[in-house]
Amino acid sequence: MRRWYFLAGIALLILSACSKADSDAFGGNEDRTGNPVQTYMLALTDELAASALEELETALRADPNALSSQAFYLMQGNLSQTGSTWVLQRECRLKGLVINKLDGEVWKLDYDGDLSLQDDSYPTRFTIRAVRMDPQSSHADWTITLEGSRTEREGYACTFESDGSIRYEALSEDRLWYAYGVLQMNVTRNGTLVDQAFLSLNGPRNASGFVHKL
Amino acid sequence: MGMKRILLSLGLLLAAGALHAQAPHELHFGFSGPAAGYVHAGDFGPLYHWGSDLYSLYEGCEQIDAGPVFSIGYTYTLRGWLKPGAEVSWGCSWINRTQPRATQDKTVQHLMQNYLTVMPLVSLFAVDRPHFKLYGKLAAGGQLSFGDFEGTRFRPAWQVVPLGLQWGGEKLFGFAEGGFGNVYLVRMGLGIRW
Repeated sequence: MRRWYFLAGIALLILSACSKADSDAFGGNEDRTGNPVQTYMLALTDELAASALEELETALRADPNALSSQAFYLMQGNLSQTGSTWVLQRECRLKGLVINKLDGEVWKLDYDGDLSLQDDSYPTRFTIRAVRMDPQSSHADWTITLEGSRTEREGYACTFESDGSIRYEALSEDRLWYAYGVLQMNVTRNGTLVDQAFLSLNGPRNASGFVHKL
Repeated sequence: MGMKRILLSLGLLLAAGALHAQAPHELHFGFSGPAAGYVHAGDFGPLYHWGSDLYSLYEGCEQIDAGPVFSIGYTYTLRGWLKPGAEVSWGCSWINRTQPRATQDKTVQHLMQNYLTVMPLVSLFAVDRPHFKLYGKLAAGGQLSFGDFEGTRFRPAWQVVPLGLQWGGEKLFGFAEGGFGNVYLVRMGLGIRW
């Protein structure tokens, strides 16, 4: 009987040795399973690009033909209109987003202001050229090209650009979640290139691939 | 008369010794994972960058870890339910600074901080059987930390153990404690009595 007590004590000692402080003891950055730079780039495709497409879809929802009659939406004060240009006025992440219709089912989105990505807000500029794949649907697939830049603290900045086009599949009314394409990003510090990264979007968010070139 | 008093005192001592015939001295050897409070936020200071911006990603610390805490403690059975004593614990924590843009995690810098805690303590036993004991414990003292982060620092330390168990033989036993404070959340170990 004493032997079992002793062995049980040894087993508990071994289990205790495996315990380890939570490296998130302080909270904060919790993304330790994936590459954090990959997460940063996913935020560009999600919180930036997908959010911009959602704002565009919301503006178009009242009338699939767009710009022909947006009185209802304009009256709510969410958009201001000057000629063929809309500016998003709703209090949201992308307030100030400028929407222009180019031709047919092609829109151009421009943003230049402070933008919050993940936990931080910094001056960000981007341009999206968006093509709606199904003009009859109020929630269609979109194909975009994206290019932009972001200036952050301590001399850090990045420029990002889609390699060709990125396709967003509309699988739900609420979220443009499935994206296919490649996004590349250059990171500089005080003007010196420190990293070049490529994010390959393969549908579901967790299926994305990531490579550092430098 | 003086001789009677001496003999009476010796008799009382012998009687006390008989009461404590079950080995009044205990030495404990334990180890545990560290409590969250073991790693003090101020120890890491400006080395650890919070946030998800580019500066945090390319220059911040990637991971803070703390290792197991080893302890040695001694108690004396003053009464069957009351055992005062003291314990010394040592543990360390470290930062591995990595380059997140690297294709493989690469440690760029390895910084370590040590923690030495000395605390007088008192254990209060609710169950005191030969092969099983149940107790609680209070400890308070000081903690000396020294290492790469910020040199040497001293701060108060405390530990409360609402539940402790001892099991085993009269001379050799195992113990497990669950509590909170500066040193540990759960601790296991072996002890000897004599």
